[in-house]
Amino acid sequence: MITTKNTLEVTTQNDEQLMVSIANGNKKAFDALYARYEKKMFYFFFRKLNNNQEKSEDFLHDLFMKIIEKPEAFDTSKAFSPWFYSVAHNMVKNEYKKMEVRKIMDTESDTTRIVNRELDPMHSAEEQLFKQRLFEELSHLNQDSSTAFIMKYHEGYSIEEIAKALNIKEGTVKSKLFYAKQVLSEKLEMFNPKN
Amino acid sequence: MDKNLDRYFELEEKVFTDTISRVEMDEWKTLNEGIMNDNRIENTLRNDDVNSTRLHVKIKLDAAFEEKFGSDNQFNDVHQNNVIPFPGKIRQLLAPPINWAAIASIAAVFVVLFMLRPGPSFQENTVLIADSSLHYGPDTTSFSQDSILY
Repeated sequence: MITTKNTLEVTTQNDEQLMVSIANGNKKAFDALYARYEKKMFYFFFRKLNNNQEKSEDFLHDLFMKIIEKPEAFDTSKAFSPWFYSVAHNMVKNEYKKMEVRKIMDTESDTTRIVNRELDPMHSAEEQLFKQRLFEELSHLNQDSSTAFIMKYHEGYSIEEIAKALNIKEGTVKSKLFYAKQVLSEKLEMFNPKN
Repeated sequence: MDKNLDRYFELEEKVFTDTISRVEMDEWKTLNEGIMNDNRIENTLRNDDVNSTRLHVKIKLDAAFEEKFGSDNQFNDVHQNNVIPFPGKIRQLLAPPINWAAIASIAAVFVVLFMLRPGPSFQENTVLIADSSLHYGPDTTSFSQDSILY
């Protein structure tokens, strides 16, 4: 009964309130925040880190560890979501800087793995190939553009929220998104049905 | 260009929410020259999903959380809500502010010592009997012949 009541209280709290509770050691608040963000942050890392599942899981763990270890790093007067994405974005940027990931990562094996996992008889081979190529090309965009693209078109964040996450102007976000669309369209031109 | 971009994303929002008019749709198509048709890129991303089990990540995080904050969630709830849950209140009322067990042990020692205390001595009993008005012992009163009472 108590558990149910407390769980309800936690689930009705917004992200910022949950962070206050987490700083006070409330485990249920942490569970609620994890449930809200686990899937989308894993997706973010997965697509940003060239579909590397193991590395994405490590990054997901490290991201939430930052909340456990130093919850006070978040300014509760601000929106949580853009802050959380900015932390994740910086983690990926640092990783790329450290390892020069584009040169080192074995794209072939990772891509094969994801294609196998997502193979669905209902989807055409063309659709699968398009998807595969899309994420390959997305990983070749610069970090800000690919983050903006994922936040906008996978998670549905507003331009304003993306600007806060990347600490850039809204106009710059729009430019990056439009530029990314242009580049991806160009690279995937062979899949354009009306061209 | 900036103005076009503002308009582009304004129309894009209308496309996604299906609130775009026919005139605006024509404008949208013009602005989308050179962009993949039918929002295929955006729609692919929107419908994309990655299925995997990440329970081990959560288990590790739970352990780290408990290591930092402890596992006493009852305390955490009290701390969070500033309200003591009902069973906690009962427990608090019943919780002895002093160590009753220690006090009970000490009391038991006193009881044992009281029971083992030495009984009254013979001398004391004698005094009691001597003082009693119910004394039926041999009459040791002696009377002389010339007593005025005799």
